Amino acid sequence: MKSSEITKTICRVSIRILYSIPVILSVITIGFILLKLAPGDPAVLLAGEAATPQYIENVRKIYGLDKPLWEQYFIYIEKALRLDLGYSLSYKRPVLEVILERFPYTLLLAVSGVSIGFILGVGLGIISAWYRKKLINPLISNISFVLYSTPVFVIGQFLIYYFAIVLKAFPVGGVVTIGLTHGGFLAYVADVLWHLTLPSLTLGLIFMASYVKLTKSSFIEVLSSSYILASRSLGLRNSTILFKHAFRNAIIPILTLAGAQLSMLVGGVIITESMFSWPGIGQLTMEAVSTRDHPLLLGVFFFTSITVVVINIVIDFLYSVVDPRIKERL
Amino acid sequence: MRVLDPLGISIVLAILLVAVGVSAEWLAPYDPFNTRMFRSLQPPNSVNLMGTDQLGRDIFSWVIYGIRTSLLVGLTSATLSIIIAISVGLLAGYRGGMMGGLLMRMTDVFLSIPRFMLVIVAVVLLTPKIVNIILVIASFSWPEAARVIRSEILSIKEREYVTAAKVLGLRDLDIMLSEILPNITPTILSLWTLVIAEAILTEAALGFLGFSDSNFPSLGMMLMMAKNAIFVGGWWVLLFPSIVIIILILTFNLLSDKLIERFSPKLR
Amino acid sequence: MNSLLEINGLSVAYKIGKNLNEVVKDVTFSVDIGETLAIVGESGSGKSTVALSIVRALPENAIITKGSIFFEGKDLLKLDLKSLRYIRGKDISIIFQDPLAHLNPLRKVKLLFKDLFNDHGLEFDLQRVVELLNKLKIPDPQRVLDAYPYQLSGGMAQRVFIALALAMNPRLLIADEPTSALDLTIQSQVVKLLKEVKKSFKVSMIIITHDMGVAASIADRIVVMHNGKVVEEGPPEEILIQPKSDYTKNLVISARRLYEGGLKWIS
Repeated sequence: MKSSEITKTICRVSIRILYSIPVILSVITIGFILLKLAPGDPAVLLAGEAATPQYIENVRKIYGLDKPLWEQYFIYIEKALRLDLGYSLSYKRPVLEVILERFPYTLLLAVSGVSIGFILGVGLGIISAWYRKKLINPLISNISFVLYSTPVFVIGQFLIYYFAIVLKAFPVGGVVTIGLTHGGFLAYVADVLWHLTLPSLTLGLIFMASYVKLTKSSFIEVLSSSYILASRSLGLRNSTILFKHAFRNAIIPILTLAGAQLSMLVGGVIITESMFSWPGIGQLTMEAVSTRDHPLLLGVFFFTSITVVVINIVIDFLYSVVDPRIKERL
Repeated sequence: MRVLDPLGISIVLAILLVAVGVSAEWLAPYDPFNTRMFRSLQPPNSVNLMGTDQLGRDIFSWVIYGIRTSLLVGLTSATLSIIIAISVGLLAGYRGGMMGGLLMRMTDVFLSIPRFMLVIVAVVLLTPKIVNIILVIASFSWPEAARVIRSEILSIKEREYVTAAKVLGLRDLDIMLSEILPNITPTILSLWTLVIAEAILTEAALGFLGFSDSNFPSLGMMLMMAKNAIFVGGWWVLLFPSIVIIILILTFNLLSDKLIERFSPKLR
Repeated sequence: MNSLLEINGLSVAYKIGKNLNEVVKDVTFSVDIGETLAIVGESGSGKSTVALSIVRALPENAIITKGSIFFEGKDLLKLDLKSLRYIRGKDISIIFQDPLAHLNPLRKVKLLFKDLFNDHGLEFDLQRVVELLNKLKIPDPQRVLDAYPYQLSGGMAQRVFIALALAMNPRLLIADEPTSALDLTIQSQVVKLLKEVKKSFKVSMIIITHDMGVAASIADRIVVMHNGKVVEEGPPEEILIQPKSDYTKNLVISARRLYEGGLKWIS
């Protein structure tokens, strides 16, 4: 890349990061507001109901809960920005530590799920767009519409019922088979992948549904454009036209969708992890709720929000790679 | 002919579902909360049309009341949400300027926050009462609708009849009501039904995770029971609530889709 | 028989809703080797449709109802799509109105040429392409090759497209309204360019245009079309000086540029 292009890209990313600051502040603020709105004494919420009065008083001092509201707010912000997410009541460890331990599992699940959804969704969408007149089209559209209207927990449960219980082909949950001594690293990986299959398929099917429709219309639009007509009249092969010419142009709105769907992804992950006992952040959320571990709950919320913001910035960067025209605008 | 096309079907279905929800007391054969352990996990039979769950509750009755709960939460929160969205969207779109920019920044923020997690956190902290659930769902779904409404208004604003009305000296409020509102009606209707579908989904998801109001039978909650029931062969606990929830969500998604299809091209 | 292309009794209709709208009615003419033919007519006369039919670059709702198009002895209308692909770009090329819209904005110019070479079974020859670009008076070919089409001006894009069309040394080049989407100053440049193409490349051309002046400047022979039918045929001098139909007369009068030979016409 030329130096002017690099400068422009740096500018873009920096502006994006700047835009994210109000978002981060708002996330912190919302957490703060919720804490204040919750019935009960915030100190007790943070210290835990089983805490001794002494401990509660300590917590009150640390979080400045005896100070005026404004000061409390700033203390809260300061702690959050220092990534001091507090102390988990149930784990008796710093919240951040617990979160980081579980995060890789969620990452694995999310990436596999989205990849499956993306590949299936875009693939079916391209087929729909290319073979517009064939019978397969209404079939794909209708099935994906029904899938789109199906909740994650319904799909997941059906998958569990059929593949794990009836067919006994896949495990019902967890990330590794308990009690199994793995003969080497490869065996471990295989075991994890075996456990990963159903949960990532669940997520994948949900995502596939939203991608199919958009991919189809995007590709139809691109395929009917003038430059595609021109490439056909220059005698280019169908495969070249589809993958080298149409693809890049058509993928742009799909990338936008990917970004906008991150929010939905988090929801799906929470439910999926809960269904499959997958030891990730989603399950951590549920644990925090059931053990009334409020610092952990708020910490997870904050962490997830920041992650979503970061991913949005990355997607924005991907944009400028795919469409060089974006570099000119800001 | 007109009833057979997708728009007609979805409208009929929606009305039917609402009818079921309203008349739950008369349609349901039993009290859904009634647990009878000696009837636990019965497959569908003449007494229990859809079988019973582990606690002996009649699933058919539960499902009927579940439809009512889903629609109650769905319709109320969606309506609330849309009202806020229209007000904010109108203001931001028509008046524009700093207000508009500010509002859009706000919605950007909302869109970047993982919504479902926020809903869970909020419902948990505020306790899962039906009112809270409705309010939380409504509070987190209006920003996106407001954004769509605003961009619609922005494009309508530029059109000739609005300029004409302005030249004629009509008051802003009058213009909003007489020119703009009729034209954004299809969009509003479509958004409203879409939010209903989302709200129904969210309510069920909350139920599945155990966050429903225990006074209101939730389809999601029955699916939570199904989580364990399927291990002991209780496929009916999974099947029936699933079908019903899919029908609920699908109906409103379809309605939303077809409303835009049918009404937009004509008005553009 | 010096015929490169023979169109016999061609009829094309467009399907709009349930109706079949005949746009080209029984058109017959031929193009000789080395000849430049211009098809002139107003919008809706069917001239573009005739040209597009040759390579079957027609929209989906177009149906060729009758006729044959013989190119070097083969009826193009009877070819299957696969064989047709080999002819497109290699034996017969077409350039369109509005060049910028017809170039993929997101694909570097160099890659466009690569695709062309590869898909016709040839290795990409950078030298040849650079020579070609130079011949077409494109300044700084290397920079153009590295650029994206959206970075090019209208006139430059047209040249690049012509280069793509000529890269495989086709025997026939069809230009569909090559000057229409450009502004006046660039139009005359393109006309000059096409004249040079006629001279330096041994290619027969069919120029579609509504501008009689453009046609008269370049063509060896002019075919006038009106309402889907061929109304008149002949060399430019004949058409300009003694237009046989009123329609042709009107076309001549509204031509923006005079025939460069300086011949005046009788009003």
